[in-house]
Amino acid sequence: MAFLKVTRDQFNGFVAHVGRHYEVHGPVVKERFLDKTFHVFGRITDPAEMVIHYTWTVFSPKKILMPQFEKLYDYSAGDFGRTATLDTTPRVIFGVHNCDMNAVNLIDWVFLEDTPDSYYAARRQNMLFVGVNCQPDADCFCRSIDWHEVERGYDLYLHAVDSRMMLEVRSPKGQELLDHFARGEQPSEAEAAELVQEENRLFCERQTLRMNTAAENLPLLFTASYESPVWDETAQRCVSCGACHLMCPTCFCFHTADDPNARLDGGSFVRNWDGCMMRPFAEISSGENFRRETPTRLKHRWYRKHKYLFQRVGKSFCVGCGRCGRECPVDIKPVKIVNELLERL
Amino acid sequence: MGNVIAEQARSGTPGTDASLWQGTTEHVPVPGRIVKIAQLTPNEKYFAVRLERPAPLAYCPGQFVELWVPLVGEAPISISSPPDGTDTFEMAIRRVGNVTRALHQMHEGGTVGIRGPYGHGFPVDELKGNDLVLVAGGIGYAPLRSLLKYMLRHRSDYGRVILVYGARSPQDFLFYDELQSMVRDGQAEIQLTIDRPAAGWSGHVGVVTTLLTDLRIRVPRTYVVVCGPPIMYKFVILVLDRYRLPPERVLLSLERRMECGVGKCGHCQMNSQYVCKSGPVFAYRAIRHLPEAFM
Repeated sequence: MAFLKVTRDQFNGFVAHVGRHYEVHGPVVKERFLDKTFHVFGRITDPAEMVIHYTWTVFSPKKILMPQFEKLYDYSAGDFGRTATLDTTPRVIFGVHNCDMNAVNLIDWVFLEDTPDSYYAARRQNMLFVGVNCQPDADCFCRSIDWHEVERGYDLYLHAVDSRMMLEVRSPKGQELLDHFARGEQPSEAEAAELVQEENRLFCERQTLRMNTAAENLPLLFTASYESPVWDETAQRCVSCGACHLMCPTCFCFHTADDPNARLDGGSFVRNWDGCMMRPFAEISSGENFRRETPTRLKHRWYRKHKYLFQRVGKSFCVGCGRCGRECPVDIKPVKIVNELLERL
Repeated sequence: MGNVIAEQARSGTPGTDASLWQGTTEHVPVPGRIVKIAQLTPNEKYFAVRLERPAPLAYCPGQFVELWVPLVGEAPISISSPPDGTDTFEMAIRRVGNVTRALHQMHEGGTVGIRGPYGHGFPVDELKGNDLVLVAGGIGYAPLRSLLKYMLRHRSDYGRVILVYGARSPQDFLFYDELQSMVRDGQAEIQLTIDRPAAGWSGHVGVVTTLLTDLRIRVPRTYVVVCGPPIMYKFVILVLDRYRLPPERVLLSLERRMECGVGKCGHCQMNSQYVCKSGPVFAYRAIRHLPEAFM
């Protein structure tokens, strides 16, 4: 694979050039609060604002591929006219970590293969991804859940350690981008190998959180744990705020609704993010609710990740990004759930 | 920053507007004209809807549509008529929420949006050559009527057709007059029951399971098809146990919260299954191990 050594200035130049032809998104600082810095994927207008080294973004690229609030079609009530608009804007998303790229691949399976979605397909087919090596924190566990390596999806990959930066080609489209817009130097094979090695060493050093069982055992563990007391106990704390599925890069459930305009002569039919942790999620018009109690909802979400969807795609649907654990206001952590289930078998 | 995908308007019924077909995706409904409305019970109305384009709705008994009332929203509704080659299909709809409340205020000639048909319907071919026992609880009769009338239209393909239908009170039976004429015709064996005694009712009194305790059925050639409120299924299954029916011969049409209708939005999940996609009709054998199936 071709590598290109770049300085930060050259990288910024690359981003600026790309930005003339694509809508560019990348990690930026959203705010600092006490000792925490929050990063998000933002529109990049000034490449110098793009952050290279970061631990996590509040939302994954899911927010760009599958917007929180999305119009399905406009309609006019009088003549029953309906118009659907697909978003085919060409975009490049910089700074995507391995967990998030794997998550995009899983959502691709959902919306391009399993239940095709025109809206998602339009965005995805016009989107390119540039990865960057990660700085795991104490909540990350991608290695433990076997999602730390990426087989496909990236077009380019930025290897960055200290001030050394190299762009690696990962797809023909990535090669094109590099050829057209980037300036840099050819590194030697040894130089490139050394950088990648250093990056892996740092990654392994920092990504220490482990589940106490191998990832491939998860469906079995969950099959054995349907009546585990862990669900009731954990649910005692859960307030069903929904932060977990909001932040989760592989949660994709949505709610559809009619959004009429103020004149009531038309409007839009829309969808927005929804999640199985919300109490009304499984409620029907008779008032029956198939998951009224919190333990049943908590259970369901984890069973989808580690069993039902695992059995369909061959690996956990959880990529170990750690967002749900970080965001949960009552400290319900994904690895703790697994380890507690194991302990209480 | 986008492209409007415009589709060629198809020629069709005179008076229809080409612009109605702009920008179609799998989430966009097609217009359906309400051709007939009738009051069935105090809370339920009959709606007959005609889809003009691109073609009449092609569906099987047991499937459902997502019905859209512009400005209000969508609701999943079972199709209550058998596919009979005409361009009109029928529904029996309870007034129970915003969408159905708005729908009940509409008139004949009004337009609704239809998406579908969705779901796995009743396996009418697999059922051929068998005796059928249809067990309906309340509004559960709505999809079963589609199956019942289908079988009556193809009468010689099926053996005995038994309908056991329980409602809360005499006014709550859907299509009561039609049921009476089926009784008179003798094409199906129909037994109705109400929950509690009521003035003027000399028929059977007791929940629908009380009509299942003494069926003279030939088990190897019988299928039982059940539809009713969530709470009903486990009691019906327990009562049916005495007949030792193979679990693949007990079919259940389940209700969950359908929104998208295509197995994407997630609301209808029942453990690992999307009820709108793998169901709503399930063989008991396929779902009896699912903890969330019978609640």
